[in-house]
Amino acid sequence: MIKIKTRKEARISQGDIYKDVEFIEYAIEREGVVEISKIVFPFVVVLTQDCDLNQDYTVRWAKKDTPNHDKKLFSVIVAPLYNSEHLYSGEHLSELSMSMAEINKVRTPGKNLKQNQTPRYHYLEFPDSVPIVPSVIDFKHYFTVNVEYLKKHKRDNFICQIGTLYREDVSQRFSSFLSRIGLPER
Amino acid sequence: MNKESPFSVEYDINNTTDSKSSIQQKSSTPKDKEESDRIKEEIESDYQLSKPRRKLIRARIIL
Repeated sequence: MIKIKTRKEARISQGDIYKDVEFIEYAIEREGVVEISKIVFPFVVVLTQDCDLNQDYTVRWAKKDTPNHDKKLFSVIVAPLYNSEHLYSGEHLSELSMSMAEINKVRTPGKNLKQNQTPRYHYLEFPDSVPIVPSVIDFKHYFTVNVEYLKKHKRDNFICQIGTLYREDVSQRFSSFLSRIGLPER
Repeated sequence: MNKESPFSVEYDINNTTDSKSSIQQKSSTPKDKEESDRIKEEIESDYQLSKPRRKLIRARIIL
């Protein structure tokens, strides 16, 4: 089980968990009609480096005099958290008409996932005070969200922040996953 | 005063709560079934809500 912080800070922080975050798949305009397709993720975790988020906050909102906008971000990296039971059964994206690979919970693949030995996934169990069932971060499904949207969204949708040590673990495993080297199978 | 020994078979039969339970004696009614179906639906819809879902918005541009 991880340790969490429930104190809500003004700025977006690494390891923050928010509910109902929207990802814009596309926005097109055709013959005077705008069509926007969004995916609403029940829970996401913030993965952007905390120092970057802090510097962006300073430039953008803290009203401190800065010589330029060098530290301003365009977006924040987040990754979805899926209900672990849905993920094991491969049905976590069924509402998007996607069927995913099953992971046998009681055999090696499931056990490896739960022990965080599968690079793609990060398993999290929350204390009882947090209304989230055991969940899995899927690093492959990371996406970015506009900074200002997320800052406003945080006000009513902040759930908790992953405790410092556990947050570093998530961050380190995410960067390792992204920097993996894909070798040909043969 | 109860003459049965607490360790006797008779005592067990006469004092076991399950056989006297009013819940067990009550047969289910159509109303119970309706209620149970409603709860099941609620649980299933909550279950679906915890999965990512798509939202499509269409709007006409007025100049």
